[in-house]
Amino acid sequence: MARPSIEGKYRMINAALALAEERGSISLADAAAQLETTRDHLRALLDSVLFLEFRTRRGELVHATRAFLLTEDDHLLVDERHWLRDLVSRPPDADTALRLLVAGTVVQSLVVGANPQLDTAVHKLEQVVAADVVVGVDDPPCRDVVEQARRDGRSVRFRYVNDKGEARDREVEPWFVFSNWGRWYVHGRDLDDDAVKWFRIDRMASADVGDHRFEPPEHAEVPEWFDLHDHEVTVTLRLAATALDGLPTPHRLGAITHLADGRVDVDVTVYGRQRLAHLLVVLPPDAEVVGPEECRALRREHAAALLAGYDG
Amino acid sequence: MADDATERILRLAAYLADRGRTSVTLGTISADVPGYGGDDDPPRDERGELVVDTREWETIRKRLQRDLKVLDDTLGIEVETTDDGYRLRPPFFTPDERRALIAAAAAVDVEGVDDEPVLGELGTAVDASTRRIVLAVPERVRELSAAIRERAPVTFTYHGRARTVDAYALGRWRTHWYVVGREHDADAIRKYRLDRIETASGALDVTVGEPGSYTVPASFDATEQLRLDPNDWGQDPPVAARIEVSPDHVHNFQYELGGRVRDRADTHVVVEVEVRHYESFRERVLRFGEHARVVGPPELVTLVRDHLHAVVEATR
Repeated sequence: MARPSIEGKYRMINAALALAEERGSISLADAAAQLETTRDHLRALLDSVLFLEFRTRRGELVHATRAFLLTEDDHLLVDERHWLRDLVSRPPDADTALRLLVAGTVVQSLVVGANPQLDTAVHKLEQVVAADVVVGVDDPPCRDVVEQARRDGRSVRFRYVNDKGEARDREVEPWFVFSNWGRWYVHGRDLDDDAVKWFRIDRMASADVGDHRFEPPEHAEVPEWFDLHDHEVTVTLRLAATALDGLPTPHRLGAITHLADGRVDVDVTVYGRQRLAHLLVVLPPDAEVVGPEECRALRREHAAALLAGYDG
Repeated sequence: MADDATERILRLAAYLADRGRTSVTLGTISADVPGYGGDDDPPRDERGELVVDTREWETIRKRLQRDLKVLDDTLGIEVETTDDGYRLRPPFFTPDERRALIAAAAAVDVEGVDDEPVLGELGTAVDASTRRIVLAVPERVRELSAAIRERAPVTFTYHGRARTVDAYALGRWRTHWYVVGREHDADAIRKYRLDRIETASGALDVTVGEPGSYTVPASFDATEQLRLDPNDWGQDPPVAARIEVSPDHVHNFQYELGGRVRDRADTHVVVEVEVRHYESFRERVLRFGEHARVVGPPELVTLVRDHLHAVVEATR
């Protein structure tokens, strides 16, 4: 086996200490697995950091022994300060800076109250990225109640308006709260029918913490996607190119064909009949539904039904 | 045990950290830090400094330079040379700032940027399973942020026409990312949705021009420009719209459009919203279908009614 270079050893030390700092602690075995090395090799490398202490010629003691600790059960942790990282003067590279800037800005948009350390860190990252990046995450009013219920291990009661516009009272065990695709969701068991479901938090009204107590499952992760394939509906439209920006979201566009008269033909996919009806009725009147035929009928019927509310 | 070089470099870092912003000479380092030849008793002058241009001086100097490069390359710890010797550069982040960023990285999964980071870079070692916020960043954000950093104009096709833009800022509203900047042809600030930048064969079609070609005006306010809710930036004369909303939908309605409840009845709630962009208001109200109906002022009622009439007529 080739001997690792001094740079390689330092990168490994750096990564192991980063794991200890960023996770609070990590077992030597887990750290070694992450770094694709052996526990003994990592332990040997870390000796220099764990037992750093020496005297200068004048007898001054230089040490950083309180910085990192390897516990009796072989867990590496940052005991006091990650003094090596405290010394880092080089700014993060552009990609790292952009990643941290986006994460920091999102947290800024959600956190109520001052966080001056994050503010100054984000400001420094802005200098590295040298581009203003404005990012926020919507924060629906019921999120706090749902989070509170989850923390307390108690159900949450709320009135919920589903995709079809139907409202119903529900009580749910909030196992996991997350944000993806620009929306906040709660995943948990619906006490009414004992089924595990997802709910959009922005569609909740009048949420409060319930009396039912629960233990959430141990593992929960943000899903990579929801399978909405069964709800997909695609319509082919012919409209002015500038009208594309006005299409209601969410939707997915297919390939755009530019026509000689300045209009475009495009397939637009939405999820569910309710969204399709809305899309069709808000199109500019001169936009054409090329197909399918039932979409033309739906557009006419939905517009007429809404118009009745104004003419009646 | 770790080898001598590993220990020596860590000792050097600890020693320089101990000295703070005070510069130390090569002679002092070699005398104080084990591993730099202090025990070999290299030739020194009356002040205790190493005698320059000797074989020992050259060996120690080269070793120190090599070690300083390792510190810089692998840990990002830079040492600057002053008239009085060597000292650490000030840290980029304070420990508290670093902790705040680690907490942010532990909460937010930024997808699409730095997807295969080197473990050890800030925020890469967090426990990803704790992340509860996922934010997808399209490749074009990276591409355009690099162009902005270089102040290089970008050219892309949008709505079937090539645009050259001095990009000033990037931002996200709802689920979409936008770039804002000065379009050359119009000589005016324009916003473009990144997913509307047209592609050929799936390739990214953004051409980056000459770096250093423009400056971002001091008066440019990215936050202001990226307030993308049409009701924020709309230029229509502000009017107070009144909408009757089904009671079950009031909460969602206010979340989407804002406004205040002005009246409550058994069958509906009247919400008042100040409107600055009539067309987007119409689109957003119609999203609620039969659960929301504009009842005033007359010009907005007419706006919605005329649109629906026109759609019905066009589809006969």
